[in-house]
Amino acid sequence: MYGYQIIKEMEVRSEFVFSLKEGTLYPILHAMEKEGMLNSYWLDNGKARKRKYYQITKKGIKLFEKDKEAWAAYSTAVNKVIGSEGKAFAL
Amino acid sequence: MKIVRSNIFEEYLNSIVAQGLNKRKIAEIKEEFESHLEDKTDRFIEIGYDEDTAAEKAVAEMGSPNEVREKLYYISKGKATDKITFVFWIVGLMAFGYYSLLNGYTDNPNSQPSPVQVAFSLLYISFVILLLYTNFRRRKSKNAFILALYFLAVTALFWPLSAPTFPTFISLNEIFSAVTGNSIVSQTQDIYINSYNNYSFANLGGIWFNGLSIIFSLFTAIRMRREPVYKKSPIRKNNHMFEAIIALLVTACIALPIFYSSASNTLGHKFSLTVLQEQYYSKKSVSQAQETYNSVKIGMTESETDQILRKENKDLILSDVGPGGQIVEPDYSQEYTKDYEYKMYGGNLDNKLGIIIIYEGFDKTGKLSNKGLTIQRFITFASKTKIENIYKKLKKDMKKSDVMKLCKDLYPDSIYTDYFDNGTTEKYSYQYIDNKTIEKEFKFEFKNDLLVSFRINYSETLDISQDISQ
Repeated sequence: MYGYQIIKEMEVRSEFVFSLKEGTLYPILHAMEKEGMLNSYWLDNGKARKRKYYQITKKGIKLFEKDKEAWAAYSTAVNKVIGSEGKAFAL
Repeated sequence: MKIVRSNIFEEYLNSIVAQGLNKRKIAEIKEEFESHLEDKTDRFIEIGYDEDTAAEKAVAEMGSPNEVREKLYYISKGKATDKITFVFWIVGLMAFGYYSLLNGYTDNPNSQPSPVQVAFSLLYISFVILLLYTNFRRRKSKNAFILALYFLAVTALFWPLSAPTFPTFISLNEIFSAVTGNSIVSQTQDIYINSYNNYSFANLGGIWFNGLSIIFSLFTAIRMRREPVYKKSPIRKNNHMFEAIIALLVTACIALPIFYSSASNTLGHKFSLTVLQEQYYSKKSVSQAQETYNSVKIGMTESETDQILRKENKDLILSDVGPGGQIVEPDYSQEYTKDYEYKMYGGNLDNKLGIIIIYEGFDKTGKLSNKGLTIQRFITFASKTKIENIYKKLKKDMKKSDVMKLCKDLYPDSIYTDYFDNGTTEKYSYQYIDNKTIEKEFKFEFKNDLLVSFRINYSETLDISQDISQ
């Protein structure tokens, strides 16, 4: 996926809750690439404009799985605190 | 219309690429961002915007150029460069402090600074400005501007005494001395120590420097944490131990000496060091003295005995002070008589043992007719370490009796204490074979029996001049 695609995909998947600024996304992509979480390559098929595509690496997948687990534990804990049906604490 | 769009993009893209990145990286970033802007502009045109507005809107949604530039710079360039820059700063400042220590010494507050001193101060300022300029240009950081103001202010405050890092170096030296018992300088060079309290400019400067340095160090540490490079990496935790340790060390180096008794003199006193060439002498033992004695035979001429003495006792003192401070010098021009007494005084500089070798009885033909060896304890010479110890323990407003006790405790056989009631000593000069000279001088000034100023000089020099006019 290329940067613009990622932003659009995130908007769609999050039902427009997450609208990442491009100025924020690209530095993050570059940082992840530098850390070896992503690979990138340029693609120019002649018709569309030349684009830089990003691809997750094994290292990136590992980190993703780890963070996913951490997030699951965290969100479960938060849900337990606020109540599974979204009930707030009653005074 | 395409041209207008590309102009808008070009302007934005130029503003987000920071100085310091390589050309390939800049081109890549520009190309990627441009591709994104094109996509986004097309999307806005699709939903009804005209091309100009669409391009401007696409650019606006990319975010602030300053913010994007900083993020891209630190991610692309990496922290390593900043660490090197940071270390370069510290090492550079210390180096200039060290050189100003070597060359920027001003003993007399009214004296004009030496050309070398001015040169180093100017070099120091150029160094700071250059670093700050490159830093400021690259990051357009307000912090760099504030740092520049601080350094220039401190420079102005101390100008033209010495580079501002001079006191910082002394602070480092104080900590090193307190921890290890040795001076950074004294390992290879001797120290010439002066301390005055009747130097109002220095008083003011010392207080301002220490106070400002503490504030500055803390301020810098806090501000640095706000710089993008010191913030958490977006994808992994980073506690920035390196920067934290360096910031802490710098703060400690400047702040801690104030709490040390020896360094408390920097508050309210002019504190300066100058470095002289070190000349150490070999140590003289009793057995060596006895060997010399045994080598001298009855019937030798004075020149023969002298050769032995010079060969085997290179550290013997030709002219020296005896008990009470009188200078005893052998007089080579004196006509020999049977009763002539030829004395050589030798001393072990670090121990208290003194050696006196007495050759007696050169007859009228100049032949040795009698000889004798006496080994006894006598007044020895304060080593640099002892003098430094006294210096470090002296404090402003110390009672005269306490000062006397301190000197006598640390330096029980000092000839200086013999004259101490007057509060001062003459400058004593000890000449050694090979034209080596040690000079020592203590000066104390009391008001109402309280110490108001003191001066301790210690120097070792070697005269290697020779007359080549013949």
